Amino acid sequence: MNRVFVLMARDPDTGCATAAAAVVGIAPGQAGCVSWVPYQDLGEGWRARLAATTVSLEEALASWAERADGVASDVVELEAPPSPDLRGAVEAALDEILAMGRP
Amino acid sequence: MGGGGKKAHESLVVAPAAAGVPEGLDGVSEADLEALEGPGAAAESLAAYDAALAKATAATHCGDEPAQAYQVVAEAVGEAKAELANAADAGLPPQLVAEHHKAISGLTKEYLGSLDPAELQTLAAAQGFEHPTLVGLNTAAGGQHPLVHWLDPAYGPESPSKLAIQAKAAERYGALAAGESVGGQTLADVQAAEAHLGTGPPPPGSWKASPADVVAAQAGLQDALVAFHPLGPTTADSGLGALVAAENHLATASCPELGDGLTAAQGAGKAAVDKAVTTLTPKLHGDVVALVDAAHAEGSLDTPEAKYLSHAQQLALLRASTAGAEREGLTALASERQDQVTKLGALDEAYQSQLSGGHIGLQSTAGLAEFASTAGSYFQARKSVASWAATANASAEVVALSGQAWGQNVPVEVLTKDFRSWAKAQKLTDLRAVATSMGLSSSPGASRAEVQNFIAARWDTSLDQQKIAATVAAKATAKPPPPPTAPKAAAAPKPSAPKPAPAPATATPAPPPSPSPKSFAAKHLAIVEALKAHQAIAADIPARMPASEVGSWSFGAAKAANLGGGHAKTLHAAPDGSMWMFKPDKTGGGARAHAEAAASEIFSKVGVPSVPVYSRSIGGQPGSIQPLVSGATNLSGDPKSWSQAEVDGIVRYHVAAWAVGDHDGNPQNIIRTPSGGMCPVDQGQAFKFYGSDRLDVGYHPNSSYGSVPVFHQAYQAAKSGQLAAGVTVRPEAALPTIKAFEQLPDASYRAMLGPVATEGVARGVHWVPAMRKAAQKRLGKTTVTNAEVAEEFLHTAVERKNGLRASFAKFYGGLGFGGAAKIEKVA
Repeated sequence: MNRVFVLMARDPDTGCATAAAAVVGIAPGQAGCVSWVPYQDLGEGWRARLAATTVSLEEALASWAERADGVASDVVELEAPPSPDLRGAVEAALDEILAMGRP
Repeated sequence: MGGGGKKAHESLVVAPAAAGVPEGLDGVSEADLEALEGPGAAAESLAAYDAALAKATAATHCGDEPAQAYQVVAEAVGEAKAELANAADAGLPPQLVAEHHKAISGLTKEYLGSLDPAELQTLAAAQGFEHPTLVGLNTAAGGQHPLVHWLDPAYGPESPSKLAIQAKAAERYGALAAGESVGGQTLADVQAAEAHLGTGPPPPGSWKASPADVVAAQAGLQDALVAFHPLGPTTADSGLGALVAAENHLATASCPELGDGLTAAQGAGKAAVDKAVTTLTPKLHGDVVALVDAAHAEGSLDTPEAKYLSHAQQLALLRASTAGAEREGLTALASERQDQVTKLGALDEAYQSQLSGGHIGLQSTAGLAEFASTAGSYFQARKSVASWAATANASAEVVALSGQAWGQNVPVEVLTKDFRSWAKAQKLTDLRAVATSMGLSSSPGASRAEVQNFIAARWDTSLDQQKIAATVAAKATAKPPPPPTAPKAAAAPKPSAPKPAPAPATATPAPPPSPSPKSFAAKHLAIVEALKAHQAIAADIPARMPASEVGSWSFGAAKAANLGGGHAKTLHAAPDGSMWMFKPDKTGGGARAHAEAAASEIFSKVGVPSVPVYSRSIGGQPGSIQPLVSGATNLSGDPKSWSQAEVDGIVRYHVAAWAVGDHDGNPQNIIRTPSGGMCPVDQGQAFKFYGSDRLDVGYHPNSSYGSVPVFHQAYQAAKSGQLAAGVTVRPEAALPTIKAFEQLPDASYRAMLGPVATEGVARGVHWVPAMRKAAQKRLGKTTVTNAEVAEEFLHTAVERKNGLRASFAKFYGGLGFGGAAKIEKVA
């Protein structure tokens, strides 16, 4: 079963982690996948964090979600969009963010 | 009254009276309305705006083919936007500008939202969008297709959100070309689906290649990828230049013999490079600068592109694989930013010329209204530029003009203070006259403070001009003030000239289609609007109040449903109107909240800035609550960008973090405050590893999850020469914090940590086993009670507090930093 999460970064305008930086997907027995919101400067911290992660995405997500405080960062799980594959679910979720016109 | 006057008035009539005034905008005053009633440039422009929008509206109903209709809509919307800009320049109040712009976007969103995905894809392809079938994957019922936004003529091609949509489509095409599948689609599927859409223009610098040349170009790219090293010392070449050159060589190859095979090879190359440069490391930032300088020198990047774009944006321009539409958008963005900088420069000059020795130079209230207007425009332009200045390649130059994003309120506050001081010497009647000319009705009854604040609100957005006007009006009439636009909105509309369209857009501005209430977009919108609309988000770190006081407050109902997240969070208004975030502590049953609140209180006691966090129950749920701070930005992850003051702050933060056992202070958890300070914002992991942690540069329990504390990053950067020139780690910077801890009486410290100890043991939190073991060892018993475990926690905390000086002297000495000895020598 696919699980899809949005990585949120702090937005100076709101004072909260309301800037979507990326969508991450995990599924049992599969390597996870990440799709970044292009040109999202506020997501640099998440990029650095992901690049330095040495455990599985599933394990990392659990830790990030546990530690996310909603102010500096957040991890929001979405209902996975229907898709034949995990990548498709992730990209469909990212499309919802892109369509908002204010990533 | 001329025709323009009628049009302008008509627009006012239909402006939604109930809509709140967007943050940062002034309310519409009687004077504003009166000014628009007569003939004038603003009224004329609004008349032209109405006509253009009516034309656009008619086109959306004309039944033409989408391509024709879209063309007419886009042109008419362009005209309407231009006329609206003219009206704004001629003095149309910002609130009305915003309302009219909303009418444009409502119309375009409704029109484009009515088209089906195939129509949107065809339209987008005709506008130069590459691979339009690769966005809007599985758009949910009621959801908006990304191409609706990309095609929306209400927003320019330079809009970062439009750039992102094209970039994502191109990235997905590259992934397919590299053999991946997206949503069950393969490269062949997409090529078949897009066969009728035609291909975009070839990238600049195309060259005629044989199949063998293409194979050689692929091999060259492969070699460059192997040689690419984005990590390590910034002095060594990462190979980025060679990588971009190799990719560009392949991306610009033209080889008709290969057909779709060439686009597949180019797409795969792009995907590989996308992956390699996903994270712009400090080393890559430096290498982008070098490539940009070279490209600027040879003329392939113009000056705005070389100065005003971020490194990620510049890298996209340097890569020939970047889609044409994205490239055009980036160029437009650079140009737009140059215009912003030019405007700010002019406003800066105008503003400074009004000052004398850094203070208000006016001899009397004559010219005060103009001064206020100039100051307002200047600070608004400054804020716009500052929002991107720090990410621009020429950040030093731009920030020198705009200031940092987190420091915008400082000069504003200075001016307001100076103005209040200056205004004391002015006659109240004169100040009232100025306020009246600026739109304050009933000013004869206004107090000096109200008049001053009303004038200052023109530049100082922490003052609410609308609220002041309402208070003054209420005093004058002893009745509740009416909504600001209500009197005119309720007035009978004057006859208007015949419209060319059946449904004038300004008479019935189409509300933008709402996303499904359950969707991420809807929840996100609700939260962001609640936050942005709220005027009372603290502009800087609020002072810490006694926990008992916050404990007695009655927080209002949740302002917005939470997005979800690791811990469900809700927003609440405090009695003073400020916005706070509540996080229920579901897993810790209140223990985590107590730990975070205690850490925040300790930070406050020892002078390390932190956002105040309090333990509270709301709706019967234990949790923590904290005020929100806007305008602050995260600390950069690049140690080279840290100043000496910031590194000193990091050293002091380390002392406090070690005292409370917080090992999660990565740059994402540190903000630069509006007044320029540095402030950790998340101590959710405080005490978690107590009893099993070490004061060791190699100890970071969250490193597997990509989180290395900022102080360890600073030490490593200092040891490897990665801090900026002249910036060092100064152990002696820790002294004030160590001393502050030493001065905290043990009894007070134990009292602060009491709830952490008792709740932690009761909930069996992470540190309990280590503390139980320590208690057994210290007490010489094989079993210990919960009370003894709690006592062990307090004993450890006090011991750690009192041993900070020795611990850090040893720690810094071990790292070989000069000045470590001072820690033990200086009292």
